Amino acid sequence: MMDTKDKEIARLLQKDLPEAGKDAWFTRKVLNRLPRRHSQVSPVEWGCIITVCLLLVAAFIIESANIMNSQQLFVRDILIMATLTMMSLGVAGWIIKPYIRN
Amino acid sequence: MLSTVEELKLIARCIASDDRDAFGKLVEAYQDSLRRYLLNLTLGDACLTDDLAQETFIKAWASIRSFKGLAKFRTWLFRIAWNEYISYRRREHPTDDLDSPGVNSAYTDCHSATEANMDVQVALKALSAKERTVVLLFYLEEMPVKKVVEITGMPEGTVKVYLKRAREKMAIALSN
Repeated sequence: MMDTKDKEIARLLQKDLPEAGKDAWFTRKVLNRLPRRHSQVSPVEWGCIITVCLLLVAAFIIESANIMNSQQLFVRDILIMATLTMMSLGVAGWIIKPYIRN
Repeated sequence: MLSTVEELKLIARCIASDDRDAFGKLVEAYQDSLRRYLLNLTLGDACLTDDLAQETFIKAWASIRSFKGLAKFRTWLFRIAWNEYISYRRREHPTDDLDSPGVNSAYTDCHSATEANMDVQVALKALSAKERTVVLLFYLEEMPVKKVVEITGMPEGTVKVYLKRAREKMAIALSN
């Protein structure tokens, strides 16, 4: 807590000490020097990716079990497997994208 | 000036998705006071001020995930700045003592500086680096002693001793 004398000193220093000159480019300079993160995928994205991967694996297992149990391959099964494959490729692309962007 | 909520939102964006725009807003909010602190800590060395300020923000970005939000962001940032200054002094002037008065002052005697400005700058030069940082944080940045302790890592008793000593030295320098 500042007493009266301290407030006087504070006022004196705030009035008489120099400010650093305005530098309109300072923020840009800092942002240009920011290092890339070691992990290009943020923790939130990793959480989503792992969740989706687990769901895809589960879906693949369930659909494969259905096909093996029925001993027949229907168009529906082919479409489901194709969709799951496309989704897996999409997730793979999501992981790889930040590295390609760099 | 950012509110606590706005600040936490920006930090959350930096942590969750490496949002550089959000970090840019934090830099904009704090660069003036940080650079003013460093300019006076370095006794007017503008080039060194900018280098240290940039390094401070870069280090803050690199370790933002370790910012737990227990202290305010400003306190955390100034702590990084003080540590950067100490690292610089140890690197460039390894034989210098942070408890000795400032020798080289780059405060310019430019035409816009009044006699009062120069008196205060001379008074600041009479202080050691540790005394100077305590004075600048307490008086210039109006931080309470507890925050000064968090930033400098010095015990509270030491901070109060430095403040008392600095007041006496500054009074002598100003009266001369």
